[in-house]
Amino acid sequence: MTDRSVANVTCLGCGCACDDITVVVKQDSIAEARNACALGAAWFGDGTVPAETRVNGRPASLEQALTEAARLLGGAKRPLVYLAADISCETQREGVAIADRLHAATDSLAATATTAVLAAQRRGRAGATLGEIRQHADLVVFWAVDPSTRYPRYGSRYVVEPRGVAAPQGRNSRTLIAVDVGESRGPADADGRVAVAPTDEVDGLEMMRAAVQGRAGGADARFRTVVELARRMTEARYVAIVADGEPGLVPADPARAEALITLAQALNGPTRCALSTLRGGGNRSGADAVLTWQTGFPFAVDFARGHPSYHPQAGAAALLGAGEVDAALVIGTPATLPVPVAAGLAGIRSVAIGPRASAATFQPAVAVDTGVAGIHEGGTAFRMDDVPLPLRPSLEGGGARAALVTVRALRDRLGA
Amino acid sequence: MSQPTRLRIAGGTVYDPANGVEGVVHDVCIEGDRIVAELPASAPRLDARGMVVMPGGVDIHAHVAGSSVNHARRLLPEEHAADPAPAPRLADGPPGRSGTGGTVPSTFATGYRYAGLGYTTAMEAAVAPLAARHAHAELDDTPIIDAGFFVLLGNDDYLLRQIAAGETVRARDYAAWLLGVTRAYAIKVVNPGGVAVWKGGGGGADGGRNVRGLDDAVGSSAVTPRKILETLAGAANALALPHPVHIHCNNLGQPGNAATTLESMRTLAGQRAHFTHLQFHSYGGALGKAWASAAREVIEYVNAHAEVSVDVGQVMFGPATTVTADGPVEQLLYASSGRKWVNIDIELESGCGIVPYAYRERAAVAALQWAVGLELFLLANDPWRVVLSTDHPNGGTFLSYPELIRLLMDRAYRDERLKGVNQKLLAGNALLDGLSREYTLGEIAIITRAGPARLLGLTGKGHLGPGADADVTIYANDADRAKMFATPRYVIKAGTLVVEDGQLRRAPTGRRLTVRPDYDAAVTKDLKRFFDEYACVGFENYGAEPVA
Amino acid sequence: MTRVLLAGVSTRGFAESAARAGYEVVAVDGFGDLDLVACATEVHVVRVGGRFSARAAVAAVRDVSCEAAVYEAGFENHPRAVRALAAGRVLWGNPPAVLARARDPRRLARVVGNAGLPGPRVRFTRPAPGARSGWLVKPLRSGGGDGVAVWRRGARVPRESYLQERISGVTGSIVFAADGRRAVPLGLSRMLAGETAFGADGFRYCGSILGSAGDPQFSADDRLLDRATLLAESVTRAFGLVGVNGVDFIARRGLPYAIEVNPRYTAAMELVERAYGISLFDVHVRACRRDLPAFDLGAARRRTRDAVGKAVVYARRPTALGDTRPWVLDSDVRDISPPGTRFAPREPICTIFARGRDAAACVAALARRAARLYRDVERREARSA
Repeated sequence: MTDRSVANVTCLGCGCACDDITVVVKQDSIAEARNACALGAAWFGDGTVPAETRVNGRPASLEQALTEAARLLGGAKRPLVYLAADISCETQREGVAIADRLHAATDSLAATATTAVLAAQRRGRAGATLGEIRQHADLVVFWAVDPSTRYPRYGSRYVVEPRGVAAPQGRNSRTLIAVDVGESRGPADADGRVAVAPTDEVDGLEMMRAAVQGRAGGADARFRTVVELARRMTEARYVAIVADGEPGLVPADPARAEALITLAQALNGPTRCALSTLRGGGNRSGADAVLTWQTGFPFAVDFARGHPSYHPQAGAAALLGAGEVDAALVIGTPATLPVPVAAGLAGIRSVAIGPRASAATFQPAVAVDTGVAGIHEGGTAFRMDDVPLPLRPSLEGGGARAALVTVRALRDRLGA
Repeated sequence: MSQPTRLRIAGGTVYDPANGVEGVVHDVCIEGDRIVAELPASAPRLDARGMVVMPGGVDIHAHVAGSSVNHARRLLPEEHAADPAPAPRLADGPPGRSGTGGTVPSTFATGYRYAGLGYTTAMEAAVAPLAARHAHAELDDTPIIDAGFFVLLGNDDYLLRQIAAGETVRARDYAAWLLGVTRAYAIKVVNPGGVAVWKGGGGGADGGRNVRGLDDAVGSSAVTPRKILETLAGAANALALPHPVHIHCNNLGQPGNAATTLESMRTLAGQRAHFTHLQFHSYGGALGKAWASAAREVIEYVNAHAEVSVDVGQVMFGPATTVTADGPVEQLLYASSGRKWVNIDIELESGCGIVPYAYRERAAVAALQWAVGLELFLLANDPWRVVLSTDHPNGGTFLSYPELIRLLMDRAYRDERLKGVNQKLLAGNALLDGLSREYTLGEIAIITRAGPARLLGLTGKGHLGPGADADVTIYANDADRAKMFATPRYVIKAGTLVVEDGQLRRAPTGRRLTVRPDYDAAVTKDLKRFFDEYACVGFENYGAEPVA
Repeated sequence: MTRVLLAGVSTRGFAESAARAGYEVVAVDGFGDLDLVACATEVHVVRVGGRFSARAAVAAVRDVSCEAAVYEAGFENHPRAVRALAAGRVLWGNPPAVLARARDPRRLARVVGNAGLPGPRVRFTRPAPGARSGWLVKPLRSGGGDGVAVWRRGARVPRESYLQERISGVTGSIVFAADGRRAVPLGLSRMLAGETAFGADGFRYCGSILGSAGDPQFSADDRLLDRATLLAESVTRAFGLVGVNGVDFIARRGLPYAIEVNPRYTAAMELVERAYGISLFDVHVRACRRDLPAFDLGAARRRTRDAVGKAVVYARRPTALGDTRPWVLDSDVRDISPPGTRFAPREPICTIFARGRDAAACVAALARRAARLYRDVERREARSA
């Protein structure tokens, strides 16, 4: 193959899903991913992926693998289908079809943001797509998160640096406030900082909401700075609050998510406000969207009764931990499985189809290596703000198997 | 019965108003996916004697697929849990898929339920261009029905700039480009200018959060709701689109908004325009004062102007979910009612607002809304231009269509229901004046099939003449019209028998209905500059066309 | 941009330095880590029987055209491989003849003695019974503490190994730039070896701490710097060292007892780059061209307040990694394996970095970081069925 450059490529390294990457291919491998941040560059790598097919640890043909996979899954009493990272929405849809057919429990990497998703189901959202924040926000409040640590271009491509319709000077049109909640700190270069003790966090958010709604609160000294911040927020033209939907090093107060939502909703009274919830990569937002439109629920869906039911507290990790699952199908990169899921898969017979499946730590009975969606195959993926984007593969047609084709073939075998 | 490529629907009572057929007993012949004039006597038969045969239903306006709808789904797990939809047992083809219902069903359930209701075509009413790819993916997972969507314009930054600069032609080219690149069917305008103002920020009680009048400045005084309407209606007509601009007027849901509606209609007098969920825009009274119905005034205008078409957006008592691109309206609804509210501002384009709701007979305003919708139906002269809809799921779900049909056809039933509602705001309402009109089956066939098909420019739909798409619904002729329309005996879609003896038996894939008007390619150069400057998605990635 | 070939057991550290200095890097090593792939244009991974082989590495890149070649750990004991690596390329580093001399422990002992510096005795045969010193057995072709053990009295000295007197003190190293005659010291660091906090045992290298002037990690710090600089100059002159080099020693009361010369880039040099902001690769290339930097290590040590350190975290039990791609965003984690990589016990998982107000605090910070890493990765591997 010739050396080439592929422009407008979408990166799935994190939930920013930047689609302005230019991939430079030399001698069938990725030499460079221009515009990509370090995480994006690591996600693209050089495009090399293993291309093995194994049954019970031994090399096998695809035919044998599919036969054994169908046998294993079809004969299971309580199967689990798990959508891991690095697969397209098209592949995710096939996975849910299989789960439906098998009456399986289903879950995905979207469940890492369980707290945020549940809070949004209880309350709703006051949100905006990333580009809207860029156009209009004149005040951005980072709540206990510095996006540059895990979402490196969030600031530079979307919310902080670029010029917007109502932000002609880019960064200088915006004021950034970092709210540091204990060890979870906002960006180092914020224009102002507010410190909140972790034990005061949720109460502080409630005090802020009361202040925004004009409900007089006592002037408890502990909350004076956050109430002052709330006042400042009501005077902004458009305020964005940025919070991490993914678990961080320091566990967040589970009540934080809901308190942030209700504060953002309340701020839409006196002014305009959007809460931006950061989410991880690998197209987990796509899994959330697909499960929601196909079943009505965003994750932890169980088809055992012949129709989808929702068990947010009993998702893959809990089911595996309780020893309830007797067979599993993992679609996507097994290395991206959360620890409790990966550990829980250890003792059960499983099928892994996805990038580096043959290196899966839980030693699947059937492993079929595939390429990575966005590198070796195309399809659709979702950004963290639920904007759909096309995937533009730069190494298509090489040695890597397409996940979509493989999962479809398995679906056919299962009569799904 | 298996899958014939030919089928004679024999001896049914046919309602095919587009071809002047009203209650005539004759055979309808199908070959492949088309209606044909005749078939050999040996062709397989479906005995439809004593049954009513109509073209498949056409839903001109429903929120069933795409980004906003999915946000609504995610918001309502309790509803889904209460309305499971096990996979139908299909006779052939791939296995059916399970799902969930409620006011915003999952995609497979949506397709199955539409088909079960005898609907074979539906239009998703509002898709933001940025999320077009998502809408298509959901429609790919919505079986049986042919579907398309209306793409949102009228609050998008690029368009407003063209209007400000007086670039009417470029605005038209942009609209044409957008329709093609998003693979949409028609132009949808929601609260023209109002959503842009809502997103622009600026705070204050009412200052800068919405528009009130058609001449309010949107950003600059060069851009007003009126200009937006004129530009987009002009574009749709200049492009000779099959369906005219589809308009959700300013001031939805506000007492006194009939004035805005009428003024919007007058602005576009003489050119084709479709005004949607008219019921929500037909209120008298005034803000802060009492509500009243202005249905009579509004429908009189519609009656007198043949270029205007509408769908009613009837409110039906029971649960509903308001899902709309009209963000500011939803903020008000949240402030005055429920616990849950979703607002998503969509970059450079539009917005999305969701509030779960319920219409109760005992609530005075809900009862008024119900009455206003019925007034619009019953006072309408031309059923070809007044389409049945509930703005699903805003006014009620599409599963309530049969109940609505009964209300229109059965005066006694209607009056009985009227007695049970809160009549506080119904003084002077035509219903209380003893509106006795009853829709005939022929008229129902118009407002649920022939009319919307014609208004959408779907020449192969909504009728049973030779060459039409073989989408046919066969009902038992039941005196209880709600029961009749709720459970068609047979439904044929593109020549395939999908519902047999009231059971869903097959679920073929439906077609996507799109338009692709020509445009001057020079507009893409200007758009690329705009994207380079402001957009957070690549120009080449925008839209819904396959890229690789 | 000049294309340079980097070869060694692990090339990530020097490759990053080269890329930052504006070179186009082609790397061949035994790991092919994610962060290496990120900074190199081309990466070749070579393992023979699970281990890196210098000869196989050279063969793997025989047809890769680069203007220059640089070797790292894994090559200093294989002069023939170095010669092959340099074929058709400019060698930036010590030529094979220099390598042979610099790696000879007897020569080192002589050079050290001639400079008036103390050093451990070395021998190739067993000492007489009754000798009081302790001895270490060291393979001639050793690196990173591999194969080093306490000599058991009376045991035979294996072929290709030697005995080195065991000196009590603090293990350290001096790294420097050399032009064949003069040496400019670049950093003075303490070496960590065999620490269980990092899963290391025996004499396995597991980290370095670069302290500021007067840091108590070395007693008589000023004198040590002075003597170690003399040591660096002595070996440079004696062996004709060029480029960046390091000498390991045991420090005792301000005196460095030289134990080994590393005539190439060493792991401790990465700390110099981090702490003082100088480009080791740039310094190396210039030094190979006989152009030494004007760098005052004493002043730099006085200016820097914090201690900076690194640790290699070794697997304590069978370990499997999850999605390591986000690790690249943490500047304190390096040598990041691809997602899902599995490690047998005692294999290196990655390298971590930390700072502290002094060396002791820095070590504590590294230990805490390692503990967190173990917690995160050890839960993933399957419990054996």
